[in-house]
Amino acid sequence: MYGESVSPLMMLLPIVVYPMLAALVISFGVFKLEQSGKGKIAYWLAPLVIWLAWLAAAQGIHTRWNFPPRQAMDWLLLMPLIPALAIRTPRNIRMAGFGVALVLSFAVVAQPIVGRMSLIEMISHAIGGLLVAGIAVMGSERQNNSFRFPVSLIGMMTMSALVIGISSSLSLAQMVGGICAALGAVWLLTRVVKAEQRTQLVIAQGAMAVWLMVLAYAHYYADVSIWALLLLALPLLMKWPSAQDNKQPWWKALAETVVASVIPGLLAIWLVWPEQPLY
Amino acid sequence: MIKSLIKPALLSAALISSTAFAADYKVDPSHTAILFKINHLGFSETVARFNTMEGEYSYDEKNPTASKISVTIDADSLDSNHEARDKHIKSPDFLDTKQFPEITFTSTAYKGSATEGVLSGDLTLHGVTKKVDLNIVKIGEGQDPWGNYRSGFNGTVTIKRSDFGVDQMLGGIGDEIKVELFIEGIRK
Repeated sequence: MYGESVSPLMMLLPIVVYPMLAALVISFGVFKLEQSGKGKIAYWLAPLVIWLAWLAAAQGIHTRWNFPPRQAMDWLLLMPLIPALAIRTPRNIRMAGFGVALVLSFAVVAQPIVGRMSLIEMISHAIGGLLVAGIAVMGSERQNNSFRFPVSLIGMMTMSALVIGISSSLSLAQMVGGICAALGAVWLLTRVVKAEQRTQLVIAQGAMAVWLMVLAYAHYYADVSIWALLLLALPLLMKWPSAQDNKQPWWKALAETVVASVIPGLLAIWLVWPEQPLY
Repeated sequence: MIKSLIKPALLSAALISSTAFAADYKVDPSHTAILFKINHLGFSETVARFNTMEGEYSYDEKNPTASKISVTIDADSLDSNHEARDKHIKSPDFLDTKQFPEITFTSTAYKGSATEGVLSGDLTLHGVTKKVDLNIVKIGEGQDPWGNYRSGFNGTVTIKRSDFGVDQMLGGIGDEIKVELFIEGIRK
């Protein structure tokens, strides 16, 4: 009568297990390619690691994925490729390059909404998107701590999943969960496998690109408050001290990063907390 | 001579009048409701409605098979008497109203009498079009106190939301949706 009930394990498989496994395999491949001197392939593959791993999660959540894309969610699965690759634009134009790539890619995802917008609305939304994306990539460019930056991103992503889930959409919260799991897997792998710090940071930037696309989707398609999303993403502006400068024990650095990254998220949760219980 | 002219004239008038009764109606939103019921965790049925819709129908008492209807519902006007739940139902998890702002039904055939029958048609929901059969019952028709001619019908249909690609939370929220329509139209 109620359809097939789904066990918690079956729900966790696409959101956590599949993206973690995919991220472990792909990132391990990237690190090995880099070590074996095939730097060019690793260079272009690194920003795509999380997007590729996230696809393993996304196709399990959006089970009716069509290719070629027909619906907005189909496009959402494909388009993060562009801003993720834009992380490799030359440094002097990276802020604008990433911003333009993200805004144009999302415009494709948001075709039904963009089609109903007036020219003024389109321009103002594009300017807003360019600013947010540009500032985000600028913030990520300043990072040189591959231990703390991914943890900070995971903290912000976790809070955003909660905000989106509480606010309106569980499937989009799961999509963010998939990015978290993939980035978490890479972070854990780099604790045991030797990898270039710059490559680890680029993988984290790739995760940020996918995350920003999902956040934009949550705002435009699920009416999640833009103020809550901007608030929880504020720790992107923090520059974490480099590992050489920071003599704290690892657990202290980890705790400090987590706390600083989730506090704005707690405020964002308070902002979207519904007056009535959802279910 | 006059008699021979009057007879066809009266006949034509009767025919015109009969065509007029096979008239087109505009759906009166203030006397029309589209509700649906869905099972909640097996404990109860949650009722929701759409507050905004427009449409037209044609009804011919003498030739009911020629009856037809076309209705467009504003999916964003969903109202389940719970703001947070409305936002969730309108999100990409369920109706995805930003992407699919309209739900439409266009009839293709009618089988039955002038007062009761089955209206078949294409229902487009969540971007998916499926053929559905509505059980229709006529409630009444006639002149209202202000001179408008009105008719009214009730309809019921049960659909599976998973058929329309709305398949989130099937474990807790029922797949079957019982739709009830209460339609009143004003003759144009």
